[in-house]
Amino acid sequence: MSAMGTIALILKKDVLVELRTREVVVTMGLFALLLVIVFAFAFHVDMDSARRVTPGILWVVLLFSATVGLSRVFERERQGGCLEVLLRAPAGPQTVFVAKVLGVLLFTTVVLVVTVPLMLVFLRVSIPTEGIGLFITALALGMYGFTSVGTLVAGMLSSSRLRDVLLPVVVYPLVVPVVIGGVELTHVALGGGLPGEEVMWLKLMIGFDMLFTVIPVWLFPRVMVD
Amino acid sequence: MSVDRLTIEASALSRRYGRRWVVRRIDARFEPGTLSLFVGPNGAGKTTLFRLLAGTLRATEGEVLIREADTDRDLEAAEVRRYLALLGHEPGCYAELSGPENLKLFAGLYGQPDDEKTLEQVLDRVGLGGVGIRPTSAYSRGMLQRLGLARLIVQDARIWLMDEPTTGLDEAGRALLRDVLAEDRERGRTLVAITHDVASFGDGLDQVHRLERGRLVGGAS
Repeated sequence: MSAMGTIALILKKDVLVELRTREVVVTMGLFALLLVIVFAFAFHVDMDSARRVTPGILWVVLLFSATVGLSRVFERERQGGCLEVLLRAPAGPQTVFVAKVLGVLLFTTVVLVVTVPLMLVFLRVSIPTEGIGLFITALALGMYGFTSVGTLVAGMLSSSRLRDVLLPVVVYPLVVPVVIGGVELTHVALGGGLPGEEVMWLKLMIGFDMLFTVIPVWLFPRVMVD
Repeated sequence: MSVDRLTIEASALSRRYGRRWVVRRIDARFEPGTLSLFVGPNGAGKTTLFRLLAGTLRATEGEVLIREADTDRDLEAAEVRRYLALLGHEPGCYAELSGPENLKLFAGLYGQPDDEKTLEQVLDRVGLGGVGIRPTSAYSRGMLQRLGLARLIVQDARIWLMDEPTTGLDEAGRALLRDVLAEDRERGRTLVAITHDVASFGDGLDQVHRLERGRLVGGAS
């Protein structure tokens, strides 16, 4: 079985299991919605303040809900000793890593498609037409960077009893650059920031994503052996 | 490249947790077409040894070599993954999928035939024929163990490493396990099991190693 075939099989299995249980998307979605509502009530004072706090709120919601999803996706693999069997597939642990990253990205995207518009409605913020592309780019780059780092760490912690506690503690400091980049890009997309500022943040996020594409793929097989 | 007959050899294999040696200087060699057991009481280091042999745990000292029996060529990592199959404490099945769905997934991952007829034959062989579409979360422990055995068969690896494979099996299940192991031993597979229940394996054993406090005692019998 080729690497692409293995990735497709694992992804198909993840989607099938999710369609039957709905535990990852529903949990992430409800959690994200709850955060959006709390933040909307806590921070919305006027249109100007809403525009300034929206990027921060968006990225906190995104980070927290994606962490919940990441944790659940790996718990599923750990139960019943499935992860050990998957990792021994001939296509290799790197392939499993890529499949898990794509799976988490897929579930996060589904949640984002629902919660981001809701958040914009609750906070009464609109994205200028010329900022939509940048807004989507920021979300895509940020989520990819977070998911790549998160999947590596979740895999590494999968045999630890403290995995649920340690996951955010280890992942959040590592993803600070991409989150800062995401917040600033979102700010620019919503019409704030200085002209041309987005180039610097785009470079930071793309650089981070490239680095954390190579490092986890190299590290994953090594950290999965105790 | 296809390989047929493989040996697995542990050389001075040791593992330490902190200052405590859980497995200490294990030397053993397993040939194709043989069934070998490691037996010992609880806490003897059996599961640690299983994980060391399987490559899911790093050895503090020593090594595990997997070779082609006829040429003595060491297998590469990708070949080891292809030709070494594990049945651990847990069956390695997704609770949300049915037995046939689990088997189809693993057959696909291992590049083996995954058509309905082939998988149904394997399920029949382990006594799970006609289990239908109910998820494995509804299976008993014994049924899960049979499904784990079916996964080994589907994988068609040359070396089988099994940790307590009789767990949850009733008398019929243990007889089935004996039959499957005898048949696959005849086919030239290298079979290694770790157990505290040597009696369940019957008479067809080639080596029995006794493990106590992480060390082999008394040599192979």
